[in-house]
Amino acid sequence: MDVSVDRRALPILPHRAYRRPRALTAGSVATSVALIAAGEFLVVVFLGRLADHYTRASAFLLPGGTRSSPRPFLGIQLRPLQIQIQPLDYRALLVWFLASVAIAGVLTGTHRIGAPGRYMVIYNLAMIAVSAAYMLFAGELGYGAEAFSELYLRSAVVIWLVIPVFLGGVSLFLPFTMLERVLLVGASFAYNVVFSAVRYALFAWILSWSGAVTMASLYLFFGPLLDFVYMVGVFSMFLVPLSRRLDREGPQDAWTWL
Amino acid sequence: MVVALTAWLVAIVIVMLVYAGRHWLLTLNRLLGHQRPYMQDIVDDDLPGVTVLVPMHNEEQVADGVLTALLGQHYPADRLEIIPIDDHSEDRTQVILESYAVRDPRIRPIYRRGEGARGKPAGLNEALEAARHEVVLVFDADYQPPPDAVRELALAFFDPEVGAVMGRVVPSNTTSGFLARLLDLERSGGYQVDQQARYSMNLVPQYGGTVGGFRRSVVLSWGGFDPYVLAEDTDLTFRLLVRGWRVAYANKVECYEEAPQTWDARFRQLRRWARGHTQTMFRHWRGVLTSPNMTPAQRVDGLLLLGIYTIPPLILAGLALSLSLFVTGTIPLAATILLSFFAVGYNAFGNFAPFYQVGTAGVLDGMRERLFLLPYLFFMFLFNSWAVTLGALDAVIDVVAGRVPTWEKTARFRT
Repeated sequence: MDVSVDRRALPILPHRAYRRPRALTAGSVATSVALIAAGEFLVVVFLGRLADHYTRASAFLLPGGTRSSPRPFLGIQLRPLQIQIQPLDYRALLVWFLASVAIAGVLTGTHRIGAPGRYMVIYNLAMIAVSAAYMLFAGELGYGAEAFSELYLRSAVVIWLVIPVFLGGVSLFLPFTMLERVLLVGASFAYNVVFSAVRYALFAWILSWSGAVTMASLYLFFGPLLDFVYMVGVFSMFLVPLSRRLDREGPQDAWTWL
Repeated sequence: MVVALTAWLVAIVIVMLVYAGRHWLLTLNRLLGHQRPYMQDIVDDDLPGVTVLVPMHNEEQVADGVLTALLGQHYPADRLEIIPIDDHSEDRTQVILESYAVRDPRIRPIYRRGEGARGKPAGLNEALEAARHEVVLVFDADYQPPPDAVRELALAFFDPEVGAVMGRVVPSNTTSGFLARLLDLERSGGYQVDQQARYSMNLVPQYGGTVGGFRRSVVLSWGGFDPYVLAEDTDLTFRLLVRGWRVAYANKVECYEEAPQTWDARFRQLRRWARGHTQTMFRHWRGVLTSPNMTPAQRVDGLLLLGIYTIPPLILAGLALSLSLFVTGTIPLAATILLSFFAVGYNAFGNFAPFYQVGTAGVLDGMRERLFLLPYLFFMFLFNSWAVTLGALDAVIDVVAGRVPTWEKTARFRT
């Protein structure tokens, strides 16, 4: 290659069909892996303290919120929120069941709401209806207030452990800078901790007036599932500047061919 | 009972882990591996004769566009014929075709009327009988091939092992609304990364039924397309592969299409694709396992490709199982979290690209701000899952009840 030519000044951008980012080298990948390992190590080391502050914050946000006694999980002590669930008699359960089925039926026939939104609402109504039906026959759900609170907290802890590996992994072979990698994992983690703590208190508050019929919907739709959505959202926020940068840099500096 | 349900949920998660691994490998290949270019070293004036087929049913909104684009192709006029297949149109399609046929002798329309099988495969069969050339290219009526598309795609057949070729589909109507923009992301992941990586890795690139073509004599040798298969493209891909032919993929041959603009049209399209693809899975899985003409890697990729429309029903089954295990108070934590990941990751069923694959494709394509839409793909996952599950169920019922599927075309939106 002619080194006397400033390759950044070449005016023709490699065609998108066969170009690949140039910045990836074995060294940069190894550094990224080390960074991910360091992030994971920090999470493991501070997991207990983080979980403690997290439940304190949720208890603070929940009116009259208190924490239960410590119980072990993955080598740390968790103190889940004490949740008061509204008891529901068979009449209330019937109302929940019939209302969910009726609203789902109406939504099935309407096209005023966009189809994806409609399907999500119907999915949640179906979970409420199934829960209400189960409670009508079995008396109560498999999870009580205490077990649900512990399940939620355990899920949060597992997701904290997953975040560095997951986001570090999906971004490993994209040409992010080291700072971007740290920010990507750090921002996702910080957002998760804050959002999840607020949501924990919110769930407890919702269950205090709705009863256990909404529990499945809260956990299975608005729980871990939603966590991954905003992780993807944070990921996309870092992809946009990356895409801009690769197109802005000199053609031969950013891309390689075939 | 609870143990059985938990085992089932874990089994679903394992299947999805296999698919996640497949897409991760494809993404890595596109980013790090040597890219296999498409026939770029062939420059030849002695081009083969080409017949272009354009299946049409009530296409008055788009017929002008595709015919004008095809007549503008940089291809020797004496070696190109264009056969629009008017399949029982009830609008002005026939009038438009007649006016083009009078103006240019390369256009030789077929008007299908009366009894007989309807739909794209049946129309293609009739046109194959009338075609004069060995290389047959197909463009759907809403496509607008760029001037060098026919030349580029025809070059693939200089390779004697190539039985079919596929170009890249790019939505042209991304300013029409949110859905078309999301579909643009999906298509990018499916072609820029998935198809190109499968071509580079000598796996199973797929002929997609449009922006592509095949050898006429080969298809006629097995009696043409089955008129009752809804995914004649996937069917052709696997018929070729088990017989030792290869499918070439041309990532540089980009052709614009009109993506569905309404959720209803998208739902019908997905359901039809799922029904056809599942039919094809039933037909070809044994052949893929036993064909002496496929490598072990092609067998694995072929089976995973055939089974890809089983993922949405599996996700829905997984969600139902999670609910069952939740109400009984026995939900397994790790499996539930993984299932959540897959529900988010596999939201782009149109071209089966998880978000990291779509994101990578978007970076390679220079999509910039369009990538902000990535998390919004999540909101399609129940919609997609339901459409695909119904389509797969349709295919099962077709087999069990001996029902004959009928073709349904995707709605057009151009004005």
